[in-house]
Amino acid sequence: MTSEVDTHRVRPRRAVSVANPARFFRIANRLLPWLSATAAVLFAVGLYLALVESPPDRQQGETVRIMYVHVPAAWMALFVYVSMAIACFVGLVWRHGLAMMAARAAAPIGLVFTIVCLATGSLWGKPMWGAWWAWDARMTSVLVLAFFYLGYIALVDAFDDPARGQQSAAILCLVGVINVPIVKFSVDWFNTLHQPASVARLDGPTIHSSMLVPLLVMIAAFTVLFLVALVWRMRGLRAGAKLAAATANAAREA
Amino acid sequence: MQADDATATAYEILAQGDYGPYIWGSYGIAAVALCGLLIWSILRTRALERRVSEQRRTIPADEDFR
Repeated sequence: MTSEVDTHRVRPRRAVSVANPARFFRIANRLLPWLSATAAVLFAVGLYLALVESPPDRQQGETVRIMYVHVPAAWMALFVYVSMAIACFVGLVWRHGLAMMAARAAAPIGLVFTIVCLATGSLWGKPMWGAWWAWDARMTSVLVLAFFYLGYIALVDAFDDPARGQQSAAILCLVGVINVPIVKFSVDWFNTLHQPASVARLDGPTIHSSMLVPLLVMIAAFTVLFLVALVWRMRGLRAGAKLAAATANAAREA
Repeated sequence: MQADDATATAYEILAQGDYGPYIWGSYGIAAVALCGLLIWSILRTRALERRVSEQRRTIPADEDFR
């Protein structure tokens, strides 16, 4: 009885083959035009529904329309951070370069979503609460989230050795994950000015379909936009890595 | 009459019940931030990929550009 492996019967797992960088970029580049078109259509439909078709709120009036950018931005801020944390975990444990690249590419996008969430929240808060800002649990924890994004972006480029920078930033990202449930459940745990959840609830959404449908369309639009931006940024990081490697090789040969 | 109705509707959409500055300000900030991020990412990536292509033309056998 031999111990040789019959290579003709060994098939690569699908997950491993998709995680191959060359294959990933081939698939991503083919999907990019479709994703871009999908984002454009979703934004066109979502903005029309949000600004024209959806009704004003009984209490908040027309300012409820800010919800259609504020809530998607908030959800994406959390979604991107969780995605980054998963990618960082994969990168740290399995030393997967593509995962680390994805986290690094996603960070500025997540930061922009967080800033949009804070800014639109402030513009919503002024007419409704009479204040541009309040140090309540929800707003403060989202501000902390923004600081974690900034910390990650600063740390990843803070070392001469890129691998060490990515490793340190990944650890910071994982530490910051504790803030995600704080952001999500702050309106339940603390006596906050911010209203409680009305969509992502165990007993189902509590807002009318005339508002829920535009909101879901805008969330889908923001999500697809994130994917488009992520693919472009990952391509940029890959090109930057190639140039850096070539420069290092040229310096060694000189 | 129809032109007046259309103008009134356009004004209503712009005014948004006197909350226009807050609502359009929010959409404006989101549009500038997200479009700016996307455009910056695309321009930066294209510039880097152009430099990689130029390097590839001068060093075709380099393993790093495969």
